[in-house]
Amino acid sequence: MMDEEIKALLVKYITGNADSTERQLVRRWLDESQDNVDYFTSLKAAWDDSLYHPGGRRVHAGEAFERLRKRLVPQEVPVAAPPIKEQVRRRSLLPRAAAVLFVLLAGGAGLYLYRKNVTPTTARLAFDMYVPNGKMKKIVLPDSSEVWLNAGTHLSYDAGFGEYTREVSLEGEGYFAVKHKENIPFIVHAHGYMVRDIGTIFTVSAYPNTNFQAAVIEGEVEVSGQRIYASKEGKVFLTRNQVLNIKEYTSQQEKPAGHAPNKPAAGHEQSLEPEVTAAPEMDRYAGWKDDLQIFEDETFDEVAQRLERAFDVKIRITSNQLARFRYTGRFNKVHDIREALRIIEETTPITYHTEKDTIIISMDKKGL
Amino acid sequence: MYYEESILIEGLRKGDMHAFERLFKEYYELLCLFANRFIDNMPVSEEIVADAYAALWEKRETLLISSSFRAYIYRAVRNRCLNHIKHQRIEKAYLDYVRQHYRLSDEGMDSAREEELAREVEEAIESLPDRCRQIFKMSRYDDLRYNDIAKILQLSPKTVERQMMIALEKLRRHLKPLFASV
Repeated sequence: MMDEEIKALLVKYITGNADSTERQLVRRWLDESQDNVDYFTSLKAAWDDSLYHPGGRRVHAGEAFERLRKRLVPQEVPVAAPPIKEQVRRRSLLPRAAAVLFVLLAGGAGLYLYRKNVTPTTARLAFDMYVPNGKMKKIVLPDSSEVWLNAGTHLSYDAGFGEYTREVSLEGEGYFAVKHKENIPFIVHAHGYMVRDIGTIFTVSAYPNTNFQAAVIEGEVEVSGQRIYASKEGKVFLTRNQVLNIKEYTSQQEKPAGHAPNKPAAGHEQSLEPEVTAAPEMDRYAGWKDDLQIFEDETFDEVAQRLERAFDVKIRITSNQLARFRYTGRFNKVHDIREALRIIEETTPITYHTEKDTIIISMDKKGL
Repeated sequence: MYYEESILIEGLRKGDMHAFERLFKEYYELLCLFANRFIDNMPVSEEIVADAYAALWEKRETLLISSSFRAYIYRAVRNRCLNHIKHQRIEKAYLDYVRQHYRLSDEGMDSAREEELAREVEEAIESLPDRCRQIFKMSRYDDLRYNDIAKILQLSPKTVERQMMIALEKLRRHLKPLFASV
């Protein structure tokens, strides 16, 4: 059999760690026989193949395409994009809008002539919608799909939405009622996951630093991306009344500081098996759309986060014991944080007061 | 794929950037991995793939695709790779590898095989002993050199060298069926 030293040397060579003397040695060894070349080739192939590891690909098609686009269409002119029917506050669109206006003013007739040579579809103007805390909004997309956006949610899509692709990016929580369109899947990008469907109703929850969750109310969706690549199928299928939970974050206390929402902590830590469960009642995932908040065995930490978004308040929990306390309850058309706290108080030993703009909640020792 | 490729090709012929974008994003990542087998340098591989797409865009109006788009673009990238190699001074050992590999990957792999390979690689890597896996990942995915890995993990460079040998040898055995099958 082949001696280990040669093997180690070949690996050094293939991984780019060999010095010139060592490289010379490898070349001489390869000249000795075809078997040697074959062995080297299989080792090199394994090294190349290892880049197929989902965590190992560091090629970004999106960025690469932007570079290529600039190269191919250097003088791109943004044109007006199709209107969305209901507009929520548009974030970060102002500087771009101002630039377009400037071009229009300065360009005049020249712009018109120029545009005749450019296909309008090369223009891109991203829609960027933000629903602030304490609010909830329904919008209708250009393809007539309906989307409800929960508090503190950000949704964006390209101007080309609907022609060949229907892709939106979500940060926060959305309820999607998708219009069926032959051959054009509807894709939600969130937290590095992709939820694809062909015509159905589902929700996606992906707030920064919280776990990714998708629930299907009608039809079927396919979820892929990030750690799901590591699962046996490479994707997860969800049908009616099924929920996918991916637990990347455990609790508030254990969260690393400055953690980027779209990237799991380290590059290649072990993969998490996605957890698909049947939901006893879908209102828990979609109720917010109809003004119904359902908490089911959620840590107080999670409850507080949801309250912060729903009522646009700041909440601080003073004891770890309370943060881990599990709460179950439902708020139907509750529009005031005080009312919410009063409901919680009925079943949970809490006491609270306000300091400046923050609500401080602590464990009520008497209640225990 | 969920949309009709012929619709995208038609869109591309008309100069529709969105159709072009779709065709680009669908294959880019895998084409880069494919090119990297010939080129052994990821940034250069990316450039070659982008060039192939740029050429596709330039001649979009007269585009003739006889078989599938997939076969077309893989062949275009492969030809560019071989051309690139021809103009480089490349070590014989590497050329031997490319020559053998070239025989095996005329049109790239089919997409099912690519997915399967990704899973096999993942499986093989996850089955390595902890330390061995950690060292391999640092070398392969973080581009760290043996000496740096040794320093970070407070090991001797010899240990790193040995663990890397074990790792790659295991991968080779695990992934062998692919290579021998053609």
